[in-house]
Amino acid sequence: MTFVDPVVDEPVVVDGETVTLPVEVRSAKMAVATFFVDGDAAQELIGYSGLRIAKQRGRAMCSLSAVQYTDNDLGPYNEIAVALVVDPHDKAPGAKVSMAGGTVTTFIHKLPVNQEFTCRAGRGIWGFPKWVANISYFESGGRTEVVLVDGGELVLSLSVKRSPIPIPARGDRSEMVMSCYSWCDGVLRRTSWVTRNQGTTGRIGGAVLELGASHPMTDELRGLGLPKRALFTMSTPRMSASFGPPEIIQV
Amino acid sequence: MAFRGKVALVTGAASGMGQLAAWRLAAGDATVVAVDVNEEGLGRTARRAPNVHTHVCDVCDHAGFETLVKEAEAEHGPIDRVMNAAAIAPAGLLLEQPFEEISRLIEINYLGLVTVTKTILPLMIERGRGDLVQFGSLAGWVPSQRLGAYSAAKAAVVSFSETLYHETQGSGVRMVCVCPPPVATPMLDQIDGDGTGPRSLKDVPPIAPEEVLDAIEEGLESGRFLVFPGKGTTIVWRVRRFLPTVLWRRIDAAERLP
Repeated sequence: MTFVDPVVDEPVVVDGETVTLPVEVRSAKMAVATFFVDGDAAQELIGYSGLRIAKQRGRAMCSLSAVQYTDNDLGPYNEIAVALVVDPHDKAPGAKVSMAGGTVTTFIHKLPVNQEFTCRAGRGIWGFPKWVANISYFESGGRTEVVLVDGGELVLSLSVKRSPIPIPARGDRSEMVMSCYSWCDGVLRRTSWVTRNQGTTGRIGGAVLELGASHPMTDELRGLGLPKRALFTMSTPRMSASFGPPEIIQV
Repeated sequence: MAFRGKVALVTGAASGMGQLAAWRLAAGDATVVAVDVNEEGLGRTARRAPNVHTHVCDVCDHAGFETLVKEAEAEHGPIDRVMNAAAIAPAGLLLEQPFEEISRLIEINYLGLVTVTKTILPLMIERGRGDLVQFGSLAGWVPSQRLGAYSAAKAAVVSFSETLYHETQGSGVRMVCVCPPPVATPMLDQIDGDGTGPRSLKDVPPIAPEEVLDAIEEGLESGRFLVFPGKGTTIVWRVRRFLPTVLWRRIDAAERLP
């Protein structure tokens, strides 16, 4: 794989409206549950991308992230991401991925949202695998309850318990550079973004995941061995982020 | 967010906490009736937010607001939540503050909230459900120099809402009166943009508006009527109740500083 020139950092037109990059998220909240899942099944699931799962003793790390975007260039909406930790495309197989360095490379496999504009912008600008579904993001009794319903069918419900244990961010205490791959219509892209989290807490376990009956996405998650006990969960009550332009990566 | 209904009405939705509240509700697929006098700000609130329906209306305009509610309910269905966030906060020494400014402050911050409440609460009580969120302020409990008129209006909001809470108990309507300390919103610039604001607040770091919204939801869920967001806010409230002179000594000392 080689890089071609990154997409030029210039405004993009979506639905006749200009979106300027980087896209700024000034206020959002997030709940994340991370699971160890079957490595081979995960590799097979994302085989279409040409990327390699970063396996840890044969297992893959899969995160379900629920985000509520409030003050955001793309408007307010809810989102659920299914992401898997992968090796950077330009690293040799088996190269150690440093998760302590502040950069974890993930592949966004699914990214349902509950609003049209962000769906088109996300697909058009970054090639994010977005589609519009019903997503509720509810906080009650110290838990974040997220329910994804697509076409009238329950896909998943995720409940993340808020922990009292603060998770200090690394480096300058709050800013983290994240990087993710996405695949859309035969094009692989990599997008870097900066997040600034405040008040993040986390714990071992802490999630209850329930899957629906027979939605394709439910079947995929079941194929990974979910639902099961979460490795760890995190909640961030206040988050801001900047999403720059993607790089197109050619195989 | 712990909003179980479909339609929410937010006043003061063109900026600050009202705007953020509107966005949060809209993210959760609620239909949001966003009310403010600031048309330009409302435009920003509704940008890329198709569930946000803007209405330019002064909450002090009783007849205008009644019409708005009738039309909104006819179009979107019953209003399940009201967030009474509209407020202004011009500061200054009471003898220097023009009467018109004090009057306007009482009108918007207190009587506006009364208008909204008296228009919608009976409808909610009739239906036996709804959320009423009253934006009071810690300033409604703790007066300070240069913020007297604002404090008086917020004290009225707190007293009105507390009485109302007791008068309507058991009606099925959830009610919260939130009393935050200084919050990082454009209103803070109104209070001290030109340096005429209370000096006792100069060293008080404002809390994030998100923290206030989270505290409101917790209050609604747990059934707690008075909500004091931010670390230490409840302590200040208690000090004011039990040791008012201690608090005044600090406020006065801050004002005497050069």
